[in-house]
Amino acid sequence: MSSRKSLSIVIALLLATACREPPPDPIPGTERIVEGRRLFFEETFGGNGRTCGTCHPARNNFTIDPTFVAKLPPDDPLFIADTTPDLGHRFENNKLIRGVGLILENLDGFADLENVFTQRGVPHTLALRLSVASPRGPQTGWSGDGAPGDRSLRSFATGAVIQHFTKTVNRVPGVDFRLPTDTELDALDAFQLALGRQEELALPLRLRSTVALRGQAIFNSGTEGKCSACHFNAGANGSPQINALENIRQSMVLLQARVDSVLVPTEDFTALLSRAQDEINDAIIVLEGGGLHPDAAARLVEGRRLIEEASGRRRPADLARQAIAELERARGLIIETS
Amino acid sequence: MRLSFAVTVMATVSLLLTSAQAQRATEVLIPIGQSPGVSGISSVIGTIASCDQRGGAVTISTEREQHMATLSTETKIYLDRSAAKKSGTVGSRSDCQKGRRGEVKFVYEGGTRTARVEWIKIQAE
Repeated sequence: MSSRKSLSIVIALLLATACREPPPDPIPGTERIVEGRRLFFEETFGGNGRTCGTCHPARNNFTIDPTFVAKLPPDDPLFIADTTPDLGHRFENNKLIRGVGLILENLDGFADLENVFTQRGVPHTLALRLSVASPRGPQTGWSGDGAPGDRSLRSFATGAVIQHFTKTVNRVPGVDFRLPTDTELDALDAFQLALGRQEELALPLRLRSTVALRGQAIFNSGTEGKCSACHFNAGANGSPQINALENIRQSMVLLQARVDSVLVPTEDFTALLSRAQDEINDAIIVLEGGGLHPDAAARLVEGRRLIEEASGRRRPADLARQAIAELERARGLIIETS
Repeated sequence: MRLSFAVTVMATVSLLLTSAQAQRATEVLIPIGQSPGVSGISSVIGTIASCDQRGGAVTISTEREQHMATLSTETKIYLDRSAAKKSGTVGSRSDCQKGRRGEVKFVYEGGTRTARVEWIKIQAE
């Protein structure tokens, strides 16, 4: 073999090797996001044929509604309960899916599928990077309790597969479906976090439409629409003040139950005070974290101290009443100055 | 009026107490060692070396060490029946028996592990 021919072969081999090497990832993590997208829309996890995209289709803003559902073919996996006797009405109520876009969730366990379930709309999966985090840790799903394990968005897919992908209502891993692997959870997490806006909005928005501008003004006005009182960042989440007020309300209910302790079983007393304290802690975190209503936060701190003191007392009712009074003052301060 | 008010308070309190238990309902169906983000991280998997079913003290033995834990009235007890190809179910303290494989998820406070158990999964016989 001539030297020229040998050199040509070497060059050809080098070029072939270079072509087989994947191009460098221009954006770190992109491959993981792409894999997550594939899993989200294609992977059935050995179940009934559904994918994440069955209920979160990209062409409908990652949610479903009656208009969208009406256009689906009868054999769409969304309607799997119609054609699978092992699923049926204990898995899904297809009348409610078609009529109002509601799916079935067993939030309170799987012991009584016939009677214990919830029907819910399908939340979109946009801007999750901004909406899942909370002072109490990750909050997924409509009621913030959608994920097993560490409760993260990453773990949510495991719960979703168990709830929605199963071949039968027995829901046996390895039989009715397979659980996502760690690698798959990572990819799904990356994909979902990449959807929608990645930063909070800086209001007011520079809108082009005069109608939209007027709508924005009404939305954010404290005297007209007042919408921003609850939807302070254009609708994605509730306002810190509203969240804190709800925490205070729940704490007061728990404390009042402790005060009116005639009919409540003794073993629940500690749990009542502990939950009341947790609610107050959440409110303090929200207010202090946002630098909001320092006077109200100080009242809440005093209320928390009273609850702690009440926990160690034989007759905590008086302290619980004092704590309620402090929470009332805090609530009044928040409402007056919001 | 006092009775109806008390009943209302009881109902409200019951709702508030049970709402916390409604979280992560699918956890009962996840076998030992497969809880995402938990198994092997904030949980310990091993063999039940001892279990005081009444007092709640349980010891889990792993290859390297023993872990002491405390079951409370709030601890969720799950029975893992996956080896028999059956779905997991809610168990009871009577299932906490020496020699059985188990996984204990501890309660963490401020990043520090306590001895309290959030949930325990016990392999069914």
